Amino acid sequence: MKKILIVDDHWEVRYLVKVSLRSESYLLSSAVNGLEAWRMINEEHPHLIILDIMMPGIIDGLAVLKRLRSAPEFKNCKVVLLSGKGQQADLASGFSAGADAYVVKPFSPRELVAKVAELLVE
Amino acid sequence: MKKDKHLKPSPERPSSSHRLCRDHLESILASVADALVVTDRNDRIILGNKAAEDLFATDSRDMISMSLQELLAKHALSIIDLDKMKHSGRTQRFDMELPTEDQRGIRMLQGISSPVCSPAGDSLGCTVLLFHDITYERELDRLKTEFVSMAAHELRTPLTTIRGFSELLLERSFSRAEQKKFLFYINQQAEHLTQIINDLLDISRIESGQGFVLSRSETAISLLVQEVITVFQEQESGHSYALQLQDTATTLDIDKDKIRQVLENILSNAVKYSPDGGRILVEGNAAEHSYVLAISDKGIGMTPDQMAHIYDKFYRADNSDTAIGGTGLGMGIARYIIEAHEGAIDVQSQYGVGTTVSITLPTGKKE
Repeated sequence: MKKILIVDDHWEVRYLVKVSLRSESYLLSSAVNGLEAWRMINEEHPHLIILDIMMPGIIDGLAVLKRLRSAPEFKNCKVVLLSGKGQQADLASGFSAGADAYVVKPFSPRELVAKVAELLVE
Repeated sequence: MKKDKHLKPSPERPSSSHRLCRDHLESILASVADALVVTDRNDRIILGNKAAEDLFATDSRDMISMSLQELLAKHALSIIDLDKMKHSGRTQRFDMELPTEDQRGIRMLQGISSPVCSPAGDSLGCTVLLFHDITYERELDRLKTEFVSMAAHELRTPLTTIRGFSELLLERSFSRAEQKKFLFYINQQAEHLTQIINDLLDISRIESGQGFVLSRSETAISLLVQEVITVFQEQESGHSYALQLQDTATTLDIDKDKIRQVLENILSNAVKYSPDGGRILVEGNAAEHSYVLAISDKGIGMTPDQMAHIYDKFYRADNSDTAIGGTGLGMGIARYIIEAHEGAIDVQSQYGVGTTVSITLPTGKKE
């Protein structure tokens, strides 16, 4: 059973991702901002995080990712950035911050599911 | 040659073209708003007009015999392709940046250099350069680009729902209840998308100076308010609406649809920002030459910081966890509409307590 944390400030997106990933092999939980996400990462140790970048509050998605990557206990945690920012520069900064995948909104649920499955097999 | 105050061709000189005497030409050059500099074949300045003196903070007498490089290097932050420009023998454009007079900002200039030729087309070896201030135009361009970027970003969120759920419905099986739920969200977000697009067009018209054309008619304001409230009551959002309208006979010369749009916007903010339900109060009173409507909620209110941004494009006080977000354009558009009616809009709010939005509209027909 793999634990997946979904982080996005938009309710509709969290719900869409939850329905897309609904499966017997995944245990899904969610957070609405960076602060809550960090708390849940520490409490639940998810295997994979679906992480929005632009969220209100001082800690945005990239900040969470950087914190995650600087902590050795989370080095096996996979991160899929899910963002409306889709320019080359945005992808570049996402990957250099330590993302394993970058999905641009609006996204195809089928593609997201495939990407998640691929990352969790590794 | 006769000296004349007005620019007239001199009758003593028969010629196929009008000749203007030197004083007039000098006056013309002095009056050109753009900075004008003429250089000789060695790039030494032989003429600079008043605007050039101002731009380069250099007296024209001091400019003469300076090289162009020297003059520009004294002040310019960056010059592009100056060498290319000098020796091409053709008209060239180049960009330049200068600090502003208070040294705190940057002015953007576009320069045009043209070789000076006789009417017959022979090069006289000199070059005339004009410097045109385009700071304002560049800033507008930047704002436009930024606006397009933000607008595109706003459209992504409803599209995410529409694309995502429609693909799920096409590729997987769901219970009838879930099918209906997903279709409802798709439909809801499509409406939201429509609203964003309408608001964007409104803002675009406002910003381009086209504005709205108001189609005014004598309107019983109390009836209009009633109409709008009824629609909101039907939405059953868990809010109760109290109407306290005085002077109900008051009629206003207003654009009914636009004012309705304003009322709907203010009321939907009241609903959105009092998530625990509660009472929304609409009061109306006639004042000296106007009618004042005040819409109050007992919702989450705003901090002074949030209040300061209330009319900013795309600003939403609370972005998270709302089923239908606003476009963030509504208050800006509302303010524009009210001000186009020569009215005023005012917002009072206290964080954790609630918000009151008041709109004042003048009574009496527009003369």
